[in-house]
Amino acid sequence: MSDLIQVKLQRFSSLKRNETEERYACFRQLAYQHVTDNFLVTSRFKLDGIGSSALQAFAQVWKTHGRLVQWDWLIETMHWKKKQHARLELAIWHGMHLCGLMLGSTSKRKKILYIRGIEGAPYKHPLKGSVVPICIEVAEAYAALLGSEEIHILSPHPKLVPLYTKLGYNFKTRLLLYSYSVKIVD
Amino acid sequence: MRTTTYTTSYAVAKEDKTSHVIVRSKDAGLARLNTRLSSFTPEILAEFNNDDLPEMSGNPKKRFVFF
Repeated sequence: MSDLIQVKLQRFSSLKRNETEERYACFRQLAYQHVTDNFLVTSRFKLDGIGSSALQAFAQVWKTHGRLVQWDWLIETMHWKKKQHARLELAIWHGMHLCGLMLGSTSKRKKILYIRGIEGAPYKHPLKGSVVPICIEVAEAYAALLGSEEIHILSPHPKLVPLYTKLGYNFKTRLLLYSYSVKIVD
Repeated sequence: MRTTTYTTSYAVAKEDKTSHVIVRSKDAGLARLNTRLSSFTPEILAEFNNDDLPEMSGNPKKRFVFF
């Protein structure tokens, strides 16, 4: 294969990758907009992807407080941004405060949406108590856009399982390795 | 020269096809989004608004599970 064709194929492949990335970014924005417009939380909030400002807030503010979890959102976000176009990412803002972060992914055919991690800001913030509901709502809106049939909340906190059950999720464990709450989407 | 033309037209054809798929799947997705109802009632939201409940989900000690 000549060098010219090789270069053209590379360009085409990167064009295709960018288009796919844009397509899912558009779906995520639609899900954010839908939840911002329709959700019952009255407080003013803004939903966005996990960008540099969210990661900066995480590194400079969240890391200095006692967190409930040990993930590094920078590592996780970079990993999933490279790995999957259809990932679900969410940063919840209230003014200048970063109130919550979520990362999710999909199965290969987008039939299952996995919520891999949710974390609220490790200090008192204006959306206290609303971070998990906003995340679930965004995930369900995104699943509707993708046409996913199931939503799995991986390793749900035991205290939250009864509430997830009220939302239509069933708690399951697989070979004692991990647990998840699953909801079949209508 | 001929090969170059073929590559370009192939790229254009693929691009059109992809755009068509994007529009079609986006329309279907929007229809589903517009007809979906929120699972959250004010009562459930009030239950979530409890200081004893952790604002997190996922295994706190490990990186996100890969499978």
